[in-house]
Amino acid sequence: MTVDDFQADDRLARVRRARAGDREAYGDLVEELWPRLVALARGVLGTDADAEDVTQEALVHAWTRLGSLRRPEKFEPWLRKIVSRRSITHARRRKPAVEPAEIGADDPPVSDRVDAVQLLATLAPRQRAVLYLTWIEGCSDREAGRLLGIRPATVRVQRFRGLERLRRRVEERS
Amino acid sequence: MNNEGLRELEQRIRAWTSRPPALSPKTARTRVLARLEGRRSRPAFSLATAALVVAVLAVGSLMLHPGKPVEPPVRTPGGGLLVYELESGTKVYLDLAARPAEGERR
Repeated sequence: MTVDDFQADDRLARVRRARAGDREAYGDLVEELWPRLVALARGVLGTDADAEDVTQEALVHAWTRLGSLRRPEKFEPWLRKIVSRRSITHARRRKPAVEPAEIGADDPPVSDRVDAVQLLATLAPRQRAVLYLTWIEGCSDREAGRLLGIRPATVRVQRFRGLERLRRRVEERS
Repeated sequence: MNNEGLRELEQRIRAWTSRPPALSPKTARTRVLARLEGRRSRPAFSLATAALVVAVLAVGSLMLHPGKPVEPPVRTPGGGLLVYELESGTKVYLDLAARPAEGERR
């Protein structure tokens, strides 16, 4: 048994315990997946603002829906689906807002970084979600489509339009 | 935008999204668990289950309360009186032989 197998089994056991109502097991899962889920929410929202709130709400909602999870081994994709869809809904409700992020030691210069985030924030929520999932996270069109509840062909169209829009924005600025 | 420009943009977005969240995983855990108070993980019924429940309730309801059959009117031996019994149990008498009173004639 490899370390990965062991971790997968461990997570599966936690998911099963959480489904049976064990909050501590659910807490372990939250702790493990938190950074990845926040990164996903950031990518879909296109801003730092609200990403952590939306992720928390999604996690609370997911707890109440755990009974509908038919395959416990698919817990993470199921959770990612909830986070991405909630993020899209949230992004559609609010006006795009971009704020400078905190500076880390390995981050690119502030002007460049904010510029990239601002560019991302100009896209429609679904375009941004498609670009983030396929481009940054490396999801296939099918995987991204499943997460967002759209067909793979729609994923391709949205990505094409998103990239076109980014290209135009970059050209306008340069 | 050329490939170089795209790659650069991709790197910047990747660096931005993968920064550690402001809330640590431990704090996030505490906050999420605190919000679970009073909420239960409930099993969700599938559509098929819901349809089955509705069908069983409908059949059960019909079996328990089949509804009152419509009774044919009872004709009296005289032949001029029809009696209907309503679902409420009230009887309605219809006298076909009765003539309107004098004052009701036009």
